Amino acid sequence: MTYATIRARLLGSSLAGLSSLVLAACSPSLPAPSPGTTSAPQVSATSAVPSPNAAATAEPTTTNTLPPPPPPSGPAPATAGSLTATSLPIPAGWETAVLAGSDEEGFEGNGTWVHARDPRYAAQDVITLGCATVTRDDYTDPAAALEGNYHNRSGDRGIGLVLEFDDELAATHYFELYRRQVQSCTTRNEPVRTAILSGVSGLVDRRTYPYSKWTEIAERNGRRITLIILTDPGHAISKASAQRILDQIKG
Amino acid sequence: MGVLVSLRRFSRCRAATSSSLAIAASLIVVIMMAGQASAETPSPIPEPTTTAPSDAATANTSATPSAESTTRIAAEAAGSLSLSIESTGGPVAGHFFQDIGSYAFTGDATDLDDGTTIEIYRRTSASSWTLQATTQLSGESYSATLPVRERGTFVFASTTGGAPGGGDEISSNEVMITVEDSKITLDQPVAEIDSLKNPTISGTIVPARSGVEVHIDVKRSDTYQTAETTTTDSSGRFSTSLSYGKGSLATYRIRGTYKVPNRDRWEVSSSKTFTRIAVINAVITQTTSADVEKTYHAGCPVGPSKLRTVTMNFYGLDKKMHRGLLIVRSDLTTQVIRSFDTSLRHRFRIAKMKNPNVYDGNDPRQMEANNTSAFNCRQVVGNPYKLSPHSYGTSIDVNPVQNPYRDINGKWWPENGKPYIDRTPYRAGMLTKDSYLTQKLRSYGFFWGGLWSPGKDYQHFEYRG
Repeated sequence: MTYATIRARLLGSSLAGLSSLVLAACSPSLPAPSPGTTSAPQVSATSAVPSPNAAATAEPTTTNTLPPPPPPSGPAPATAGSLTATSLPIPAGWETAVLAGSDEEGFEGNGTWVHARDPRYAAQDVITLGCATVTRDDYTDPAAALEGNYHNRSGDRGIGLVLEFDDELAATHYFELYRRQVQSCTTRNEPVRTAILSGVSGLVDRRTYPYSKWTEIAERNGRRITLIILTDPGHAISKASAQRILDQIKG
Repeated sequence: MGVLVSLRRFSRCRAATSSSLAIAASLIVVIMMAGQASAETPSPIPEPTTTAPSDAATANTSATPSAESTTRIAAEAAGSLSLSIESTGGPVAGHFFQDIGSYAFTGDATDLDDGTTIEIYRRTSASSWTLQATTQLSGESYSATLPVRERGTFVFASTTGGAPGGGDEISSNEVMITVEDSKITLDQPVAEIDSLKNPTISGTIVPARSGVEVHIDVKRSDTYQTAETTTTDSSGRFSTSLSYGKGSLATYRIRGTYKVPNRDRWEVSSSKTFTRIAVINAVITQTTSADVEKTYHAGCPVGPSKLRTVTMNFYGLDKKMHRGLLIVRSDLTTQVIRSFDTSLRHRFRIAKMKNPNVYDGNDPRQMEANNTSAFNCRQVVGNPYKLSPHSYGTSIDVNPVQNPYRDINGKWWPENGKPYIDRTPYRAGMLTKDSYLTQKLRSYGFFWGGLWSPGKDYQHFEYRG
């Protein structure tokens, strides 16, 4: 069942029951957090020995994939759709950072602390944590994406990203899917380990990559999803601090 | 098996001496080892001596003429001697080969006393003979053995004492023996070979025989050193794979040798040469899930079905050839192979080219390890909200240490690449815009990160079509 099908079903539902209906309708087709429920591993012509984690890394058969992102043709715009620098909160203790861009990150700086991103790539890059299968069939691309950069007094980096969808339903669906992806990394060490904090209104999770640690604060607000991820070597950002950022997002 | 025997009466009859009679009660043979030195420097003829028989002597002699003895010529008169010679212990019946097997001397005597000393001589010039062995009559016959050594044609005769034609001795017929050359020949190996492959070294020994241990020697500086050892089959053929010098780019001179059985001497072949050369020898295979076990994750935009594993040779920082692999998008294999081939031809050095699985797909780790790699579905180092271009199999990082990467915050990766932030002077493994690899990849539509401004990513190539 594609997201389009799900969405068609849901459009007829009442607003009050929207959230539960989304979850119920999507459940059969959404990737489960367990790595053991995916499709059979692909057998290639030269593969004699299946990978130990073949089930977890089974290659989707969808053709709905993106080509490599095109190179920047010039400085990235400082706005995206209706998104501007004011769309992103500035976490307490952090300052905005004006970056020149890089080949690896695929943008050329524009002299401000925010830059537009191709929303298709932004949505894909965020949700591809690598712990459970997810394809672009599972969600609708946002209409706009704006990224901002922060740094703290130690020079650590933080990134903010706002994804703006065409409607609240799409945003809700994406955010729930994203939450499941984060959840699926709580039992893994590779490529990232996550720990979700409870008792907060949005999504707050600690991330441990092999070479860095971060704390993420994310929340949906209408048809926007705002994601803030901050370098946090000791995972020391408190729940209260995270809640303050969530409150900023909620406005 | 029999050897030509011709009878010739050399001298008048002479009775056995009383002294020889006195010790004729049993077979006593002394094999004189005269002539054991090379033909060029014959040893002095030892005085014939008589000793009690030893086990060894017994083993080499026989009181009874060989059953294989051929022609027997009766003496024309009392006091005559005959000689026949057969080959024994050699690989080919009826043939004598240098340093293999033995001469088996046998003969009969008429009207000579039991125990009479019999001396066996070899002609060394037109008028001189060299004593080879001494034995004694047992009844009316005698025998002795002597290891075959020099090759050539030789004439032997036996006497009752003293060289043939010397005076009172009774001489046998002369027997002419031809000792053939024993040799080892090496087949010409392949003239040039991929440095990472091993040439087959083969050859033949003559006479053909199995079980002979053959050494393949490689010349280093001015001396040969044994590099491989093999044994011959029943046809005298040998064959072995030579790993010596694997990975090096050089010409090697080799020879085959084996130790002859009859003395402390080595049979040596003529030498041959082969050259280990640099070739890319690229092999493209469908990428398997095992190939990307640590680098492909659920949800990644490009999976193994769209990737190819290119296994190829490269020239290392150690100036030797190595084999490595790159995993790239399926439509880029030709461009990648041609670019690295051009680079190899110009001896651009690469530290290593291992599957990123080795580093668990951890990019900072593999940068620190100076690994050259391509596909790796991962986040950009320093931004969890951005997938690296390596996630698409269209980017290649080369020698990260010699070509460090400056991230968006100004931090250089890897830490041990900092000495290479300053791009002068040029050091092996560094990429410049003039590097053959850079030029070739750019000609195929790859962008080189060294040209990015203001950030720098000297290790990075990215296909942009």
